[in-house]
Amino acid sequence: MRTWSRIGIYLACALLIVFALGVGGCGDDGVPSSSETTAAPPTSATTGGGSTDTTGAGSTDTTGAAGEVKELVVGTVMPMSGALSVVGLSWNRGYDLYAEKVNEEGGVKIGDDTYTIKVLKEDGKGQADSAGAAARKLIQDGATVLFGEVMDGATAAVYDVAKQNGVLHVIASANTPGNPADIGADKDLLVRLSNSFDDAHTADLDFLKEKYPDVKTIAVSQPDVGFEGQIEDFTAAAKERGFEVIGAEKWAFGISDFVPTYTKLLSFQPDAIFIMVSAQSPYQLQAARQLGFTGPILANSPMGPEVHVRVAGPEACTDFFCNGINPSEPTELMADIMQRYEEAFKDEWISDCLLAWDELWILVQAMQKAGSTDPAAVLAALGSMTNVGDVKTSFGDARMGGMERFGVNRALVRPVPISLIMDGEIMLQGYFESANR
Amino acid sequence: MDLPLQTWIQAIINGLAMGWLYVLMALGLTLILSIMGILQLAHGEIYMIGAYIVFVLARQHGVNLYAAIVISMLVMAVFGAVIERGLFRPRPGQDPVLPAIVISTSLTLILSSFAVVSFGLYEKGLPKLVKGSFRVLDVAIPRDRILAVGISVAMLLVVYLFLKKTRRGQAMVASAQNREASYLRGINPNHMSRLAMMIGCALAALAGALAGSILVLNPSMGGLPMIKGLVVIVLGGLGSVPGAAVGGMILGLIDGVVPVVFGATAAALAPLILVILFLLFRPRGLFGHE
Amino acid sequence: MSRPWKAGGLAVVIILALALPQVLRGNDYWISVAVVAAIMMLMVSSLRTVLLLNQISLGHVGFSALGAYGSALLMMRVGLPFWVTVPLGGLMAALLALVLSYPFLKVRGLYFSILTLLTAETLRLTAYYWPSLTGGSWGLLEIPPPASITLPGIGAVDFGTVDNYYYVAIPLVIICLALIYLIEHSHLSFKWQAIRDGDELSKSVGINVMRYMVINFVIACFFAGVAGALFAHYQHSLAVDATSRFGVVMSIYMLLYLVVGGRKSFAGPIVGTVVMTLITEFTRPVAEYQPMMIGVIAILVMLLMPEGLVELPGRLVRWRKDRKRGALTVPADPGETG
Repeated sequence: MRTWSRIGIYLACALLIVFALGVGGCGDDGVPSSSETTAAPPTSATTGGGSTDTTGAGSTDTTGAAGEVKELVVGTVMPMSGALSVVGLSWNRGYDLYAEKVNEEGGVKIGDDTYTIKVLKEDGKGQADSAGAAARKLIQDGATVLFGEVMDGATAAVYDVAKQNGVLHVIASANTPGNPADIGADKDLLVRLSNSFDDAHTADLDFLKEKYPDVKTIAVSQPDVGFEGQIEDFTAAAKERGFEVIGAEKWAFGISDFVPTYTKLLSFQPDAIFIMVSAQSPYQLQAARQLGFTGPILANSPMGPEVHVRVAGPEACTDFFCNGINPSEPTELMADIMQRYEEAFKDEWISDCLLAWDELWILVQAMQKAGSTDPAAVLAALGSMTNVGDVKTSFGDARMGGMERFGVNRALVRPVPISLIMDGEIMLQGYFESANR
Repeated sequence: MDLPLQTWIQAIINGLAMGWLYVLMALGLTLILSIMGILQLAHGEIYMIGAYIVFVLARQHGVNLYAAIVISMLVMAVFGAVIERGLFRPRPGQDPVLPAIVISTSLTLILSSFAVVSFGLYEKGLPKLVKGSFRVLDVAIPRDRILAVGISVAMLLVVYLFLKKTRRGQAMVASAQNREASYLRGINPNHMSRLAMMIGCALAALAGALAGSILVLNPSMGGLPMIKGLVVIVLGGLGSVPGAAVGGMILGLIDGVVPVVFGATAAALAPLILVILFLLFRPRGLFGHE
Repeated sequence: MSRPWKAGGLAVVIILALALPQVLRGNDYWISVAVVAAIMMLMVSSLRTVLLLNQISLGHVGFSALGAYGSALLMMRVGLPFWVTVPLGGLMAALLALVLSYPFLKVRGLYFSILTLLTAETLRLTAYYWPSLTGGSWGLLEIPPPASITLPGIGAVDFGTVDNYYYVAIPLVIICLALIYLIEHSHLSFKWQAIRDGDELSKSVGINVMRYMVINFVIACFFAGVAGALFAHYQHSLAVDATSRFGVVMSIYMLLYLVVGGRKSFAGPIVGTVVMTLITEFTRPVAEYQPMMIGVIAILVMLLMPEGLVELPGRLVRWRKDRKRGALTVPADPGETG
């Protein structure tokens, strides 16, 4: 058989398959609809439903009002395969747990109607084109709100699609707050319902000053991903409080050996060390202590303090504090979430879950305030929730903010926990106020 | 660049103490490359799976760490024999290069995906080999790294003696130099390939276990050591055991000193540029034969 | 096969390809998949070009990245139009290939593959650590699509949407593939085949081996650059972190697509890309297992059907013929198809 006939047959077959799908309706026939279940089989049945069932308990007429029962379909674009799937998994679990809770209670009342929540998930792979395709698929499958992604390029791709379709896009996590893909006055459908991690700088520095009054100089360890803005921010905040930042050392993504980085960092002879956003902060802590540094170390790491103790060992975990919660001292709501997590996923607890739970919860709060699911109304509602207490989160009373920094009040500003560890013992110090901007 | 002397010394010591990892990886890669003629791109994943086996044994079943490491080496050696026979054995009449690359890269995808799916995703840690650090003249040397250096030097000697002194080893060397001629002398090239793969995989598993204890354990931990191993065998020369040792130390030194003196950018690019230059101007490396 | 058959088959394919967006109207998702698949077809075909010399380039993504960033930056910083920046992107990639080809191709074989792999990584890291030029780790955002044109009867056509960009990308890909096809059936190809079969012999017949190898590599990288540029203006953003489209994993995937499709035939890359893309899209519900599945498929094809899926109809026909003839055994040893 000659080349072209072969191409012809193959391509014709492939295209005919796709024809049939396109003609037969948007994706329901041959294409499986987006994944709706979490990676580990959840024990509760509410999110395991088929593609067209509304999940959760049926109609609820207890409200008395003549409202209907509708379904809020949210789509998440998160990395589900590859190196970043760690993050994707924990966030997706958080979204799922909140949806389950809502559905268990029969739905939430928004305006006159009661809504159950369905969470569809697609793999963004941390790449722009995959994330864009994932977003398109979710919208096709009925999503009216998109959450995602984790890498800035992928987030931008999701927003591209959201904008074209008039769908609200909630950023899950901004790698570096203020990057080009982050919220801004020119982005009408974009909002971030997780806090800017660098809003914790002021709280951390205040705590450092109070607890370790002898510290004068700080050295910073930062990932090599364009954190210059964050360094400036931190340096300015430090200066205001009488500290001097004497060095900032970058380490490349993907390394696991921090001894060379810390060799350099310690050559500046700082009084204290700040580990800027690093999922490897336990290893950094370990390296610092191994090289003989005895001063205080602070980290605004996504890793909980218990992870640090487990990995670096109790001897290293002394004079160390971070912005994670102490799993033994959770708030009531957090305890509930942790309980649900344990029942659903026989897996170790990952605190990112809380961030995702909060995001979906806040969205619902905004919809309730607006009385509708219309994106413009929801954003307007969020824009008005700028006083502490207007927004509820598992970390406590929060608000929407960011006007000074981004030009719009579309970033969450919530309390930041600080946990201090001495000799391996974790002690929650409290929930502190984020920077006011 | 004006850093205190203490920092320089610390950086150099760091580097030499990390070189062991590269040496172990390079040894395996170079054996496989010179005897089987293929580049085992999945070597990093073998390293990673070896580490996870130790994790399962030591953390989940309470097996003694050292015993777990030995078991892992044996398991991965058997695995190596299996994949050599099943996947990498060249077919008659078929050029072995492309299939080897395709199969080893596919194996990379399969193994890393397998690890992500079955072992959970967050980073884990192995029990420490030994705790604490030595302090010598104001320079800190973590004890477990010194132990790792000791173990790999020992392994290096074992492999070297094996190749030089035992009949099997000498057969392997002969097979590497000239496959057809050795066949005429009664040396079965397939046996040699299998042996090479088994030794290579066992060494990779050892490296993985040590790294898992000293550094960290995660499904993507294999990528970087694979590249490092590749750099070392190019520097040291394909097929040379002393080359692997020297190359490992050189790369270790570079990795210890360059980030401290020149920063992360240079640290990432320097080994790559070095290899490119070597491949262009001295492909046989420092000690290589062909 | 006779010419009418060939021409007919080709016409069917092209008509189907061009008609696709109309059928899938509103189904942005599949159209976007089709655009990316088309671009991948071009990339994989250009990879195959290098394979004609029996050299395996593991660094194609690097040249692609060069073309992508080149085209994007020329449009954004210098203001050149799309139709100029795309070929220029390709030329930039070709130029780099020219510079590198002589030393690289001298070393051949395994070393060549390692060199290309490392070159791609070096290019990627250079882009990553050069924020003022490429946006560094944030990537390059808001890359403009081709300028909109006004057609009589339709009005202004905005190429920022997937539907419309399809009509830019597909014809360009078809043209490039046609060019590759023509090159493969030209004089150049004979020289390449001679080199593949043995360059000592070729030299003795007076073929300037290096020159033809360089030409091959330069052409292949040109098309890789063009593919990259097409991608940049489709996606409107570029990123070079390790998990991106320009990382090592993508080089591996491209090689697998080529092998699964079939490296000996021109249709191989096309078939391979289509099949693997469909598999990738249909396995969305089990996304965590995708890399594993792709690896398994590639190994199976490599072991059982080394010539690739493109050979499948041929094999079936032969198998049926043998059965009809009543052959005692069906020749199945790999040596026959090897």
